[in-house]
Order: sequence, then C-alpha cells, then structure tokens
Amino acid sequence: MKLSEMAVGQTAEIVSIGTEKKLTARLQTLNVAVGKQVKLLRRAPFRGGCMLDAEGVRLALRESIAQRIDVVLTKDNGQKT
Amino acid sequence: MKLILVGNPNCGKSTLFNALTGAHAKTGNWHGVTVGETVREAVLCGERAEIADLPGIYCEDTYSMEEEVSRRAIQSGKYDLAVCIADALTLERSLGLLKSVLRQRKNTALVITMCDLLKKRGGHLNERALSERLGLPVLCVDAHSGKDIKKLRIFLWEHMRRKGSQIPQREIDASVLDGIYAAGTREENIFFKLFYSKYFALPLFFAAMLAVFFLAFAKNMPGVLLKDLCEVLITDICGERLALAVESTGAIVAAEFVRSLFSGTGMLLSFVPQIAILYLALFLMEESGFMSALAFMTDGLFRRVGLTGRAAFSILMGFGCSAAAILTTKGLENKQIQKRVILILPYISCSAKMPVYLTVLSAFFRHPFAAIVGVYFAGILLSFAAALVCSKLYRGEEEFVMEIAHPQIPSLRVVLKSLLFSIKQFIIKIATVVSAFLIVMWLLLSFSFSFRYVGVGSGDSMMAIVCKGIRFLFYPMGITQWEIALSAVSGLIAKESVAGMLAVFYGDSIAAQMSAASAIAFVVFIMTCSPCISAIAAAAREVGLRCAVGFAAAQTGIAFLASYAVYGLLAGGAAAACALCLLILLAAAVLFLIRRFQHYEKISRTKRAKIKRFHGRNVRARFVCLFAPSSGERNKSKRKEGQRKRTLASGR
Repeated sequence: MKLSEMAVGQTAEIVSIGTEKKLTARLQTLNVAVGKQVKLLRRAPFRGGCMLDAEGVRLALRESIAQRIDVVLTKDNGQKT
Repeated sequence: MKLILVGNPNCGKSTLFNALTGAHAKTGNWHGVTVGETVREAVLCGERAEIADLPGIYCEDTYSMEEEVSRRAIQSGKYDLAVCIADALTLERSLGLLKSVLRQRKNTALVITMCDLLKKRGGHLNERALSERLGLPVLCVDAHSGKDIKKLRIFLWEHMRRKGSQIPQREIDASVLDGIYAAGTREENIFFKLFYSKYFALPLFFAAMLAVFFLAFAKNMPGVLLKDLCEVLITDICGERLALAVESTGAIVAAEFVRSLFSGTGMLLSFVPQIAILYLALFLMEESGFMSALAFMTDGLFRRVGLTGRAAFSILMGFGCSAAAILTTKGLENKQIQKRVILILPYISCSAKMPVYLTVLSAFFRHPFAAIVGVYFAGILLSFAAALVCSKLYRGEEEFVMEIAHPQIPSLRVVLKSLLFSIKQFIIKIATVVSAFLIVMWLLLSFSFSFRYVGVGSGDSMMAIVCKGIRFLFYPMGITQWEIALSAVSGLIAKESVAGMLAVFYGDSIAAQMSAASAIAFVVFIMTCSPCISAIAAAAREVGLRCAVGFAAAQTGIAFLASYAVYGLLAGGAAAACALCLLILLAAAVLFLIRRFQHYEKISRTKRAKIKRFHGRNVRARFVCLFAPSSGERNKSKRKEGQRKRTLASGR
C-alpha cells in the first residue's frame, strides 16, 4: 500500500522508499525511513499533501512523494496486520 | 576566538545569537528563517569573541541551498568552538548533526534549547548524565530567560579556550538518551487545531489580513488617526515654524527649501503608524508559527502554479520589504523555484509602496480603504498569474518536504523588539537615502543651468529640461506632466520617494493634476513596475546581475503596457474593452500557433521523437487545464490500459 492511500488517523510501517537519493537522505533525517512508524495526521486542502507524525517529528509531505513510499498498516501497538 | 552556532532548522540559533550579541538577526517560528551567515562580536565574561550564526542544517548531505552555507562553515574547521544547538523536543534527531560536527575533531559543546517547553510537556532531561555519556559539555537553556543567557555566557567562555578535541566515549545513537530523557506527550493545543483546520486556516488568514488593513487604512481607526497627527506635527508645526523663522531672516530660497524638505520627508514619516501595524501583524504571524501552517495549507494551491508551500514564507515577507523577501528565497528547494519566486515578488506590494497608494488613492476615493484592499489583493492574484507563466519559463521538478513548527503564543518582548527595529530602519532610510535624494532633486528642480533660482515646478530648471523626454512614456496613461513621470521613475531609488516627490511638487493638491482614470493607471504602474534598487541588488546576489536586471526591465515593460491598458479601459469605456478582448484573443491564437509550430519543429529535430512529443504534449495540457493529472497518475492509468490490452490478447 502507498503512503498516499492511507486514511487519516492510521498508523503504518514504512517498507520501501522510492525517491531519489538526496530526497531519501532528507526524509531519513526527518525520521521517514524504512522500518519507521508513521501516522497520518491530516491532509491539506486543494489536494496539497499530508501531515505525518514520524516518531516525534511532524512533517508535511507533498502527494507526489507520498506516492513513492510503500507502507504496511499496523495497529497502534506496532503489530503488522 | 571564533564560535559557530550550528543546529537543525528552527531550534533557536538566531534567538540565542541575538541574546548573546545584542544583534537583530531575523527570528521566527518556522523552518529556514536564517539563510546566510551573520558574524558579530560578543563579550563573554570580559573577553571578546566572534560569534557566527549559521542557517539551520539537518545533516551533512545538504538538500536545500541555504544548508550549503552551514556545511561549508562546519567543514572549513575555521573556528575555536562549535556550539551545537539542539531543540529539547526533538533531541533524538539532533544527535545526527552532533555526530557529523564531532567528526571534524574540533572543540565542541552542546546547548539544548526550549527546556521550558519540555518541562511543560511533562518531559525531562538529565543534563549531567548526558554530558558524561557523550563526553561533551552540555547546557540546557531557555533562550528567553536572562538568567539562562548569563549561564550560557559563562559556559561558552569556559569552553572556548580549551584546546584539543573531544573524542566521544561511545558511538552516538539513540541509546545515549536511554533512561535520562523523555520527550513528554505532544498534545495538539487549540492553536494547532485552529491553524491546521481545513475550513478555518485560510479564512482566518484572510480575515486577519482584512482586519489589519481595516485598522491601518479605514477612517477613524488608529492607523489613520495617528498618521494625521504625525503629519500635522511634522509638516505643519515643525516645518512651517522653521520655514517662517528662516524667512524672517530674509532667506526666501532657504525657507522654500525647508518647506519642501519637511513636506516630503514629513509626509513619509507620518506613515510610521500604518507601517507599524502591518509589521506587527507580520511578526505575530511569524512568531506564532502560523506561517508554517500557511505553507502546509497552501501547498496545494502553489503546486498548481509550479511553486511549493515554502514560497508562502517569501510572499508574506514581501508585504514587509521585497529586498528582505528576496533574500529568504534561498530557503527554497532549487534555483528554478527561486527564480520564479524572485520574479513574482515585486507584485506583492511592499510596505514602501503603501505611502504611494495612499497618497494617490486618498485624493480620489472618499474611502481609500476599499481601494487599498483591492490593490493588495490584485497584487496577490497577479503574482499567482505571473508564477503560472514563469513555471513555463523556468521548468523544473519541485518537491515539498517541510517540518511543521510547534505553534506557540508569541513572546511580546521579541515581537516588540523586532517591530521597533524595523521602524527604526524605516526612519533611518527616510532620513538618509530618501532625504538625500529629495534634497538633490530639489536643487536640480529649483535652479536653472545658469544657477538662477527658478522655483520648483518651473519648466526652466535643470531637471525639467533633462526630464521632459520621459513624460512621453506616460502619455498613454493620460499623464502629461513631466513632474509625475519623474516621480514614478524615482521609485527606482526607493518606492517611498515617489510619494515624497509628489508631495514636493504638488503638496496636497494631487487630485487637480490627473483624472481618476490616470490615477488608477498610475497606481497599476507603481504596483507592477520593477522593485527598488536594493531589491534588484538582492536579486543580483541570488540569481546573478544579468538575470536580475533582465527581470526588472521585463517587469517595467509589462508595467507600462498594463497601465496603458487600464487607462484605455477606464477612459475609453465599452469600445476599448471590446478592442482589448479582441487583441487578447488574437494574441492567444498567435501564441497557440507558434507553440504548435515549435512542437513539430522539436519532433523533427530530435532522434528520440516519441519522448519529446510526450513532453510537448504534457506542457500544453498543463497550460490549458489547471487540474491535469500528475505524472504518477498518468503513468498508472497507462499501465492499467496496457494490462487490459494484455489480458484481452491472452484471452483471445
């Protein structure tokens, strides 16, 4: 499943990130890396993007980036479904 | 001794820098406020030390342009102490940067900010245990408390003279913090919910803007009342009395000079209250973290015109000063986006253009408030339109990743300090650059080539003879006086001087000089023409001199055309409107044909025809339809189509 397909309030674990190298490195410093838990907090109006909580870091991501991140939904206690 | 302040964006480096050195570096609650290195001297326990404030940086692998400045400063190793600054709320993430600073094997110390916020959230941090584990000096501070700053001075003084480097005692990773640090719980407070509410954030922004304009420009509101008071005080009381005193000594020319100078500068200085209200709103927005919310909420809009939400920062700063806003564009994602934003920034009316609008519009409108609001919003719309056109000029991929700032109640002390500083800057600018310009202009306007006093407005003065040529450019706006033409051109030095010059020439009787239609055309010209020389210089620093001058020339050319069109429409009525519509249609048709032609030309000249044709089609599709699917979606639909065909074929 893609990060962009998540619903607001869901938590998921990142499986793979398909962005170019420089952007991947930037995402990693913001706690968006393979194996990290992210929660989708809200979406911006006008098909803007989404706000994530990545283990304590709050960040905004554009839709085009979220489409290139694969995730697996987890329940809040960290178990994969 | 040289100290450098390094840290992640928005962790409070500039706030600490200001507290230590007494500087006025720009601060704000959003990521990427500081975009260049500032160096200033500070006295630490009686000893002088140079402190350098650097832009925020996440990691050595730089992503945006301003981070490059910090990376170079860290890697140059030309410092005695690297002060690593970390935000207590995201301490874990800040350790990555600390690690790369320690790799330089130089003297390093860790300062942790926002400890007061950490406590409020129920978190805790054991400073001493962390220091022992890292093998580094560590200090927790709250940048707004005087006691903590004193502690910080002693701390820095103690450690800056230590020679040699620290070698961390263990590998630095998240386990360093085990048991001694808790981030507390993060609750979305009422501010956060309001700022990021889908239905509330943008209406809130527009309501706030309207309220600010209302307070500043509507009748019987503080802005206008204070302005009138200032004007009476400076021009009528001080200026007139001084002029009378000089006149009584018999020096009539000198008295005339004093009168002109006071009516010019006094009129400009009387705008201080209104500019203060505008700046106050901007600073409140910056310090509260609303800017960050605005960037998130508007990214979807900006994407359609080829920009990112980050452009919201620069655009909002543009309401204050275009030159300062152009400098902040370094925080944008790449050079292409930076160029586009620099191109559209002049359409955002800076605070220096406000006196011009008010001088001209209040002569023609009984309630200039509505007209002013119209001008400001027209500027915003125009800048969006310009961005749409520019996205075709400087093509490039844009991506948007941004950390969200924690909203907070703005510190009144910080806001007032920045406010006083920018008012001081405005007064200094009026008292030096603009006054000097007005004095030189007065001399050139009042004396003929044979140095005989002829009086301002006389056709025999030096300036009048030189400047008679430029008025022809303003004829299609219905303006025939060379005086007004000269005022408009003087905006290149500083936009305030346009209003200053008009006051020198006409005093309060501008309404008699031009028709309402020409006045509106004039305002359109001022709104769209090239920014002042300091903004052009700032743009030259960012994108190169040739590019900056080219932008300014193009903007001025377009400004002339736009103001001619506006005058034509207003003066000519329905016939002119029809003619203009026809012209636009014709131009669109020609443009379309040219594009088609170029499109085919491209294909015939390249080997990889298929790819190029796609490219051309993409661009045109976006030009026609704002809501074109993004490339990802298009690929997906194509893939699906392919799959369908394949299954059909296999079925057969």
